[in-house]
Amino acid sequence: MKYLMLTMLMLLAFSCARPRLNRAPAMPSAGRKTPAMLKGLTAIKEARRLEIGHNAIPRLFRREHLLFYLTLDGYFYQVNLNTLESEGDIRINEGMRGTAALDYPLLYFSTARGNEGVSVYDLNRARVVREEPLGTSVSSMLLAGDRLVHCAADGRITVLMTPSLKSAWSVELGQDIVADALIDGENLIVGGRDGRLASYRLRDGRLNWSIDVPDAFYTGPLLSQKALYWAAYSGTVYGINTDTGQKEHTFPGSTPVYQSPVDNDSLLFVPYADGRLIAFYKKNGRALWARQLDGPFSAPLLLTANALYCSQMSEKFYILSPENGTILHEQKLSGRSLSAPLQWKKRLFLFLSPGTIQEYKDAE
Amino acid sequence: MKRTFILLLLLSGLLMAQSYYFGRNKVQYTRFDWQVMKTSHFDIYYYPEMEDIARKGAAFAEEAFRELQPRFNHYINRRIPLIFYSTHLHFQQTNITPGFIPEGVGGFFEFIKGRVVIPSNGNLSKFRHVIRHELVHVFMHGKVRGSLRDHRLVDGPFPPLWFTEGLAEFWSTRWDAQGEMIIKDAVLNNYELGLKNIYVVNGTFSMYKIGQHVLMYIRDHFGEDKILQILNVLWKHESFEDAFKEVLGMDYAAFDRRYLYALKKKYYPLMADHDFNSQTSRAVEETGYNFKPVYYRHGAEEAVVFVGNHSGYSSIFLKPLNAQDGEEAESEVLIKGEATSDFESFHIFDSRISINKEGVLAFSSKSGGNDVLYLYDIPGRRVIQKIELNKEGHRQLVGIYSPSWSADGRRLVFSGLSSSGYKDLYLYDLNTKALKNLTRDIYDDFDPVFTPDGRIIFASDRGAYGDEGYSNLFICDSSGARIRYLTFGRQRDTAPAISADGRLLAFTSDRQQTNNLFLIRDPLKDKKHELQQLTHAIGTIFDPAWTPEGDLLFSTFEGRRFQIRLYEDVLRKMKTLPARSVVMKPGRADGWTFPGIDSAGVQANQPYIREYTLDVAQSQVSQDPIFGTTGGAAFAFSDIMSNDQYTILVYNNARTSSDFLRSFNFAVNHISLEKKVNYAVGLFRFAGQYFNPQDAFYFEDRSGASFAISYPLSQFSRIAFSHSLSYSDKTWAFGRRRFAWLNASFLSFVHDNAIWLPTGPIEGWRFNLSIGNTYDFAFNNVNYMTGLLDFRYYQRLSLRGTYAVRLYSLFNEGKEARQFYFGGSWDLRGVPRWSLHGQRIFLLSQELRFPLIDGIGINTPFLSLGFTSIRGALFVDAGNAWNGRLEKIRGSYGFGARLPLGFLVLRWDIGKRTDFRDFDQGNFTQFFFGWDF
Repeated sequence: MKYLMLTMLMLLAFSCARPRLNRAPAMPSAGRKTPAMLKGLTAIKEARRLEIGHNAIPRLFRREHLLFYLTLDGYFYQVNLNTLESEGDIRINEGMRGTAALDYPLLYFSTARGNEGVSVYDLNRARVVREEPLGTSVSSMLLAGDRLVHCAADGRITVLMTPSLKSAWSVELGQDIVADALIDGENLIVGGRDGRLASYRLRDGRLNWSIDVPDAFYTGPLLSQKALYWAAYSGTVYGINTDTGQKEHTFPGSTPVYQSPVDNDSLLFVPYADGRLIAFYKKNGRALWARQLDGPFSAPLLLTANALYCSQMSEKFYILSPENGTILHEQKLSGRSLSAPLQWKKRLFLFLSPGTIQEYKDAE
Repeated sequence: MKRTFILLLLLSGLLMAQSYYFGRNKVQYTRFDWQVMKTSHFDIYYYPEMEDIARKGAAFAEEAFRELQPRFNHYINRRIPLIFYSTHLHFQQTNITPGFIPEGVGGFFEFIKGRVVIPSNGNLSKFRHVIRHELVHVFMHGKVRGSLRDHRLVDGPFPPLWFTEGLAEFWSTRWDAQGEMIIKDAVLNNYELGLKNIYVVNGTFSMYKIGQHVLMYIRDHFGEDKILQILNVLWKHESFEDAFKEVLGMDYAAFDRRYLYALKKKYYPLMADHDFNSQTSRAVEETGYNFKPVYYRHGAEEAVVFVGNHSGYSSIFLKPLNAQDGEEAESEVLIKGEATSDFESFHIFDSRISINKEGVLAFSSKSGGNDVLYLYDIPGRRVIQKIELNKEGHRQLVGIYSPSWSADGRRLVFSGLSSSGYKDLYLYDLNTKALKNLTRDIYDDFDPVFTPDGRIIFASDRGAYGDEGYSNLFICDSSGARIRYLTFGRQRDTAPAISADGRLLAFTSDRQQTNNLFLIRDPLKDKKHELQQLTHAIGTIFDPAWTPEGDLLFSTFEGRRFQIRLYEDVLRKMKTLPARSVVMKPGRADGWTFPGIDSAGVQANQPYIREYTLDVAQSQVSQDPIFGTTGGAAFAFSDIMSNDQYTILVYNNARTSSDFLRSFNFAVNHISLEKKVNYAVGLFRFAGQYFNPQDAFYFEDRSGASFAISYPLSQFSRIAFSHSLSYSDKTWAFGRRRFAWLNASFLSFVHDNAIWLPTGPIEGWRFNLSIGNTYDFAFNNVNYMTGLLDFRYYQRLSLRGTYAVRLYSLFNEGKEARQFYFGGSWDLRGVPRWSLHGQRIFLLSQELRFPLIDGIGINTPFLSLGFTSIRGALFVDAGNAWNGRLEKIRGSYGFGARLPLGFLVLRWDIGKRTDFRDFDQGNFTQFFFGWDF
C-alpha cells in the first residue's frame, strides 16, 4: 500500500510538472504559398466553434494543422484545426505584446507588463528559462535563422543569437518603436513612431539607409518586392524604395491608419480608421476604388487571390473583391475579430472576443 | 445585516420616491409624451413638440459617431440611448439622475445604462457641441472598459476628471474666448495650476478648460495620437499618471515644468499692450460672483443693480455708486433667489435685467415648471407684478431671458425658449397683455434691447457664420420685420447696450480671443457703420450698460472673480480711438440651416414603451455572533427614463434548514416618479430575531403591504403620506406571544431650503413635522400614536460662519409603543451612542460653526496628504429620552472639528457633560462620520 501511494504521488507530481500539451507540436516548414496566392472564399457559412475564453493576440501562427493560439493575457493554446479542439494549454505569463517567435520548444516574447525585455519560455518544461533585460517592447519578436530581433519601445534595437541569447549587435533608432519591424532578405527594416525608417544589415547591424518622414506611425511597414509601404497616423501612406530608402510614392489620406495595408501585384489596400478601405494603384498612387465599411478595423486584413477579408470593430466581417471592392459577403459576428483571419484547407477561422475560434466553411 | 437590508430597502424604495427625511424635491411639472426614433447607432428619445430639433440632434449624433470612431479607433457595439429635452427647465425634471441639475450642466452621460441626456438651450451649435461632448465620454468609457475586458481585467484605473472632461471639450469644440479667459487669467494673475495641482479646481468649469488646453498642448508638442495611446496603455498601469508617463516619457511634475513655462512665454508678452481692468476702470463690486449690471437712479441716489451670488443663494443686489464719506457702500439684497418657489433661479449667466424710468426692474425667474416675468418696484422694494405667460395661454413658452423695457415703459422685449427647443424674440404689451412672437425660426436670438426710436437690437447666430457658433448684432423694427446686420464676421458679438439718446451702441466681442468692449456710433442711422474697440483688456468683459454720464458699467472675470466695474469717460476716450468699417460679405449673408436626419437614416419612429433593465444587483452574506448567519440580495430595475422603478430585496436568516421558510424575508416595491405626485406600493415580509431594550430578545414575523405618496408643493416643501397594513406575530424570549393586524399611517410636512458647505448646512431652514398612528384593528393588542418634530435653522453670520439650532422631539404613546434610541454624536453629544431610550425624546442643539483651517498638507517621502476646509464648532446640547415623566435634562458643551473626506465628513467633538446643575470632571471625546445637523 505504501508503495502504491508513493507511486501515485510520483505520478501526480510528474503530471503536474508537465505542460498540459497532449503532444509536442510538429515543426514542418512553413507553407510555401503566401495567402495572396491562395484562392479565397467568397461566401462563408458558420461551422464549428471552440470557446477558448481568452482573447488572441493580433497575429497567430500555424504549422500545418496546428494553431498556436497566444492570448493577450498570456496563455498558450495548441489547437488542432482538423478537430478544432484544444490539445492543451499553458499559462505563460500575465500578458503579451506583439507576436511571439517560436522555435519549438522555445517561445520568445515580450511581456505586456512585468519584466522588461525578452522572455524565453520552454514549452516542454513549462517555465520561463531565460530573461534578457532589454527594455520594454510593444512589438513582435522576429526570428531569422539563428538571429532574434528585439525592438525596445524606447528605440533600442538588439539582435541576439539563439538559443544562447548572446547579443550579436545593438543600435539606437533614436525614437520610440511601437510597430513591428520586418526582415527583408539579409536586412532588418525598423520604423519609429516619429517617422524614422531604417534598414540595417541583419548580420552585423550596419546601417544601409535611413529616412525621416514627417509623420507619426502606429503600423509596421509592408514589404512588397522592392518597395515598402508605410501607413501613417495622418492617413498618408508612403512608398519607399527598399534598396535606396528614397521616398517614391505618396498615397494621400486624412484619417488615421492603425492596421497595416496589404497588397497584391498591382494594388495597395489601405484600411483607414473610419472604416474606409481604398485600393490604390501601386504604380501611380491613383485610387481604383473605395469602400465604406462599418466602423474601424479590428484586426489585420487578409488578402487572397480573389478575396479580401476585413474585420471591423462593429463585429462585422466583410469579404470584398480586390478587383473592384464589391462586397461579396457580409457576416455579423458573435464578437469582435481581434486577430488576422486564418484560411486553411477551404476553411476560414476567425478569432473573436471574448476568446472564440469560429470556423467557417465555403458556402458556394 | 438585517438593518443593512432594511436600510437598503428604504433607500431604494421610499427614498427614491423623494420621501427623504429632508431634502428638496425634483418636481415633475411637465408630462412628456415620449417617442423613440431609432437611427443607425442611437435610440433617440424626444417628445412631439421638439421633433424638428430632435431630428437635427439625431443627425449631429450620427455625425459625431462617425467622427469619433477613427479618433478612438473604437466602435460602440450597443445602441446608445440619447434622451433629448427641449429646454433646460425640462431637463432639470429628469429622473435619470436622482440629484438636482444646476444651470451650468449642459448634459450628462450616465454609466449604468449608458444613457446620454442632453437639453437644447435654443442654440443649435451648442446643442451639437454638447452632443459631441457627451459622446466623447461614451467612446472613452467604452474604449477604457473594452481594453480592460480584452485583457480579462475586471477593474483598472480610469482617466481623471481633467482628462475625461478636457478630452470631451477638445474633441467636441474649438478653443474659444471662454477657455482663453480661464487660462490667460490664471497665467497673468500667477495662479496657473498644471496637472500636479489641478485637483484644486476639480469638477469646475476651469478644470474643463485647463484639461482642454493641456490636451491641445500635447497635440502640438507630442502629437495628437499620444492621447489615444494613453488610453490604449492605461490597462497596464496602477494609475493614470503611470500611463501618461509611459506615453509622453515624463510624469506630471516634468510635464508641468514644460507646460507652465510655455504658458508664460505665450501670455506674458500681452502685458506690453493689454491692461488689467483693475488698472483702467473703477471697482463697483468685487465680492462673490456678479453679472448683468444696470444703472439705476432715484432722486440723488445713483446705484447699480445686478445679479450675483455672494453667499450661496443667487440674488438681485443694489449697490450705491456714490458712497458717502469715501467709504464703500454695502450691497443690498433686493430679491433673494433660490430660497422660495417664486424665485427659484435668475439664470445669472444668461438673462439680463432692465430698469425703466420709473425705477421698475424687469427680470425673469424660474418659478415652478416655467420662467415668469417679474416687475419689481425698486423705490418701494416690492414685486408689483408677476406675469405668468404660460397661464395666459402661452403654454409653449418655457424659458424667458433678458427682458428689456421699451422707452415708454409699456412693452417688454425678451428672448423666449419654447418647448420646440428654439429661442426667439417676443414682445409683451403690459397694457393689452398681448404677446407677440417676433422671430420664429431655428436661430438663437438673445440679449434684445429696445432702441429709443422703438426698434430692437439683438444678438443672434442667424448671421453668416452662425452655424460655426458665432453671433452678430442685428436690428429690426418692433414687429420683428426688416432684420439687418449691425455687425458681421466670424466672432461672437453679444450684449448690445444702447445709450439713452441712441447715438452709441456698446457691445462685447471676442474678435481677439477675449471679450472686449466695442462701440458703434449712430447705430440707428441707415448708413455704413464704423466700429471702435474701446478696451484691450486682459480680463474678459461681459454685459456693458450705459450710465447717463456716458460711462459704461460692465462685469468682468479677472483675478478669479466675476466683478462689476465702471469704465469712465468713454465719450472722451473714444475720440482718440481708430475706427474701421463693418465689412459685409453678402455671399455668406443668406442664413444657414442644419439638416435633420433624413428618413433613410431613421429605422423606426414609435411611441415609447417601458422596458425594464437592471440597475443594481448586490448580494451579501454575514455572520453575527447573536443573530447567526444571514444571506440575501437586493435588485433594482427601472425603465430607460427611470420614471418607474422596482426594487426587490430577499434575505434569509435561518439557522437550520428546517427554519428556512420561517426566516425568509422579502420586500418588493414599485416606485413611480413620472408625475408630480410620486408614489410607491410594496409587499413585504420581515421575520427574524430582534432585540430592543424594552422587549429584550423576541421573534417577530410581519407581513403586509405598504403605500406611500409624496406631493411636492414646490422645490422646497412637500406633503407625504405613507400607510401600511400588516400581520404581526411576535413571540418574546420568555414565552409570551401576541398576534396583531397592524394599520400604520403617517403624514408628514417637510420643508428644506438650506444651502450647504462641505461639512453641513450654512444658511436656510429645514423642517419635518410628522404624525402617525399604529393600531391593531383585530385584537387591539397594539395602539399607539407617533409624533416627530425636527426643526433646524441656520443663521448666517459671515460668508463661512453660521449659528445653527436644532429642535428635535419624538414621542410614541400608547399600547406597545416602541421606544426610541438616543445619544451619541448624531444627537446628544457626550452620551454614549444609543445608550438612552424611551418613548419620548427631546433635544435642543446649538452650534456656532466657523472656518478653522483652510488647508493643511502632510508630505512624507512615501505619502502626501492634503485636507482643505476644516471647520470648527462650539456646541451646547440639552435633551433626554424618557418614559413617563421627564426627571432630568442631560446636556453637554464643547468644541468640535469637522474634516471633509470627499463624500463623508469626519467629526470630532471634545467637551464636558452636564445636567445643568453640576459639570463632570473629565472630558468626553467622540468621533463620528456624518454631516453637521
